[in-house]
Amino acid sequence: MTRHITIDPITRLEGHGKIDVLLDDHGNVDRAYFQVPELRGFERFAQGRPAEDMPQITSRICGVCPMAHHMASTRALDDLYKVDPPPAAHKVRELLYTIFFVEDHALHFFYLGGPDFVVGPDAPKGERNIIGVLGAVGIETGKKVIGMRRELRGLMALAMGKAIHPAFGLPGGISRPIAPEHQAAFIDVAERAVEFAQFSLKVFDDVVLANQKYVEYITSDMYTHRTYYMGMVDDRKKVNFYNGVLRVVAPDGREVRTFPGSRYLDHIAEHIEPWSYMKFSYLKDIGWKGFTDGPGSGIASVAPLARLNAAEGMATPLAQAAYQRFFDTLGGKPVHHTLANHWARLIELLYAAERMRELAGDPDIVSTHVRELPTNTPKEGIGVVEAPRGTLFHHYTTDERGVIETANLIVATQNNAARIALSVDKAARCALSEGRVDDGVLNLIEMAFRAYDPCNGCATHTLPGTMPLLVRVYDRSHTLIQEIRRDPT
Amino acid sequence: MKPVILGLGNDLFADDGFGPVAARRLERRIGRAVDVIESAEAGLALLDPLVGRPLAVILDVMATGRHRPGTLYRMKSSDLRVLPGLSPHHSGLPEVLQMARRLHLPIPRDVYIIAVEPEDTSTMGRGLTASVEAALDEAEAAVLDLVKQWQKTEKTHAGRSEPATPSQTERSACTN
Repeated sequence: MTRHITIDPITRLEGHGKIDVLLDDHGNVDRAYFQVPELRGFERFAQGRPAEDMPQITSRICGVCPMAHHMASTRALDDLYKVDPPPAAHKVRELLYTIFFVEDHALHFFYLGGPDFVVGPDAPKGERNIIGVLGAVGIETGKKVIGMRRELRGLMALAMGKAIHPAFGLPGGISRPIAPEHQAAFIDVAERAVEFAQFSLKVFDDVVLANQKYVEYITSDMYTHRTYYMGMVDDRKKVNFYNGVLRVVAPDGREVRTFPGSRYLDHIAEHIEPWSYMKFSYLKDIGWKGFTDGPGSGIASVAPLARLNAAEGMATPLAQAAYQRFFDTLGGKPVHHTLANHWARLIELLYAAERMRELAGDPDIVSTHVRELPTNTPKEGIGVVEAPRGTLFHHYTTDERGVIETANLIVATQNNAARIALSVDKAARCALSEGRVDDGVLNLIEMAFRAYDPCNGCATHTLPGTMPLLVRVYDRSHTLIQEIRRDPT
Repeated sequence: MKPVILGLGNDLFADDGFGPVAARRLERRIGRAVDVIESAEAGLALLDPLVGRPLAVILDVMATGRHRPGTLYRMKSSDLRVLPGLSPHHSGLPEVLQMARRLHLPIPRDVYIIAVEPEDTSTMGRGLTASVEAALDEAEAAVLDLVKQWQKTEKTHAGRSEPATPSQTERSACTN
C-alpha cells in the first residue's frame, strides 16, 4: 500500500512550497517532493511596458528580496542599451546592494537559522521561533539585531528616498547621487555592520560549533549531496554579488567552466517535472540525469555554500580568514553539507559588511556623475546578480523603442530547486522510518530546505501568524488515515 | 504619533492588493489625523509602521479556505497565536508583536485587523476579483468605525486630563 504524506502550509503559500512524501508498503519513503506555487501572468504583465519600468515592477514581485530584482533588472537595462555606467554609479549600486545583503543575511541567521541551531532542532516546537532565539541569546542581542536593521534601512532611505518603490536604478547609472553630507553616516554604520557580522560569527562559534551534536547534524550524510556549485566571482575569482562572471566547480572542486551571465543559455537548461510548476535548472552539457548527485548529474547548487565553493576566496581580509577557517574545519573544498549554508551565510555577511565599509569610504560615492545616457537602440538585455539565495537572471527583449516584447526571470530558488528536491527527499528517507511521523521528524525535513531559504518570488506577508503545517497520510485510495497538525502554541 | 492604517499586500497579485487598495480609498477620506501606509513587506519590516503608534489598524487578506471569497474578518492581534515560522520573511504579525514587547518597544496594546477572504492571490495584473472588491465598502466602514471609537476615547481621556500612556508618547525606536 502506498501512503501519501503532505506537509502543507494551510493558510497561504506565500511563495513557499509544500512537501509531499509518498511511502511504500513498509512505511519507508518511496519519494519526497518539494512543490512550489505557481506565479502566473508575469510574462504577459511585462509585455508592452517600457523597459525602464522593469526595476520597479520586478522589485514589487517579491516582498522578500526586492533589491535583488531591482539590481538584476538594472543590470539587464545596462546590457539592453549597451551602456556602461560611470564608476560612481557602479559603486553606489554595489554599496546599497551590500547593505541589503547585510540586512538579509543577518535576519536569516537570527530568525531562521536561530530556531534550528540556537534554540535547537530538538527543542519543543513552541520555542523554535524568534521568541525562543531571544530567550537563548538574550534581549540585548535582540536589540542589537533590531538596531542594526534600523540603521541599515535608514541608509537605504538616505540613498533612495522613502518612496515605496523607488526609481533608483536606470540604464547607464542611478537616478540620484549620494549627498556629500550623508557619507559620514554610511561610514559610521558600515563600521558597526562589520562589528555586528563578527559578533554574529561569534554567536555561531559559541552556540553551534561548540555543540558536538549540531556539528554532527551539519556533517551528517542526511544533509549531504555531492553536486556542482555555481556562483559569481570577480577577476581574482573571489565571491562577488554585483559584478563578475559565473564560475562552476565540479563535486571534486575542479573549475569546469566560467562564463559571462549573458551566455547563460549556453550553459544552463531547464528540466520540467509534471508534479511541479517550478522548472529545475541544470548544467546543459552534463545533462539532466534525474534527481541524483555526483559528477555525472548536471544538478548545480547556488546560494551561500555554493558561492564559497565556487570561488577561490573572499575579497576582504576578515571574511577571507573566516572562509579559510570554514574549509579547514569542514575538511577542505568543496563542502557538500547543506546545513553549512548557515555558516557560509555569516561569512558572506562579514564580506558584505567589509565591502560596505570600503565603498562607504570611497570618495567616488558622492560624485555627481552617476549616469551615462543611453544612445544605442535597444534589442536584448541580460542582467545577472547574486541574490542572497543564489544566482538571479533577468532577460528582456524589446522593440526599438525599448518596449518589452519578452521577459524571462530565472530566480535563485529555481537554480537551486533540483538540489532542494534532493535534500528534501534524502532528509525524508533518513528521518522517516516505518511511517512514524511526528513534529521532530517534520522539523528534520524542514531543516533540509530552510538552509537554502527558498523563496519563490511572489511572497509578501502572512496572516494570521506564520504558517501552520499539516501532515496528511493517505492510503492508495487517497483516504485520509492519519493527520498531524502543527498547531498554534 | 498619529494612529496608523496599514494596507498590507501586493497589488500586482489580484486580491493580494486588497490592503493597499482599501488603504488608498481611506486616505482620500480620513484626513491628516491618521497616517495611511501601504506595505508589501513582512517580518520585522512590520515593526517600522507600528512602533510608537497609539492605534494601528491593518488591512490584509486572510485565506482560510473556509468561507466564501469576500468574507470580511475582524480581529485583534491578541486573538492570533504565534506559530513556529518557516522563514524569517514570513514571520507573522503575532510573532513580530510578541518580539517587540519582549524588547520593550512601544507598540499598541492591540492591533486591529480587517482582513478579507481572497479568491485569487497569484495572478499578476488581474486586479481585485469582484467578490473581494465588493468587500471594500464594508472594510472601509469598519476601519472608520475603529478610528472614531479611538478618537472618542482619546477625547474623554483628554477631558479628564489623564496622563498619556507610554505607548502614546514615546517616539519610536524604529522610525526614522
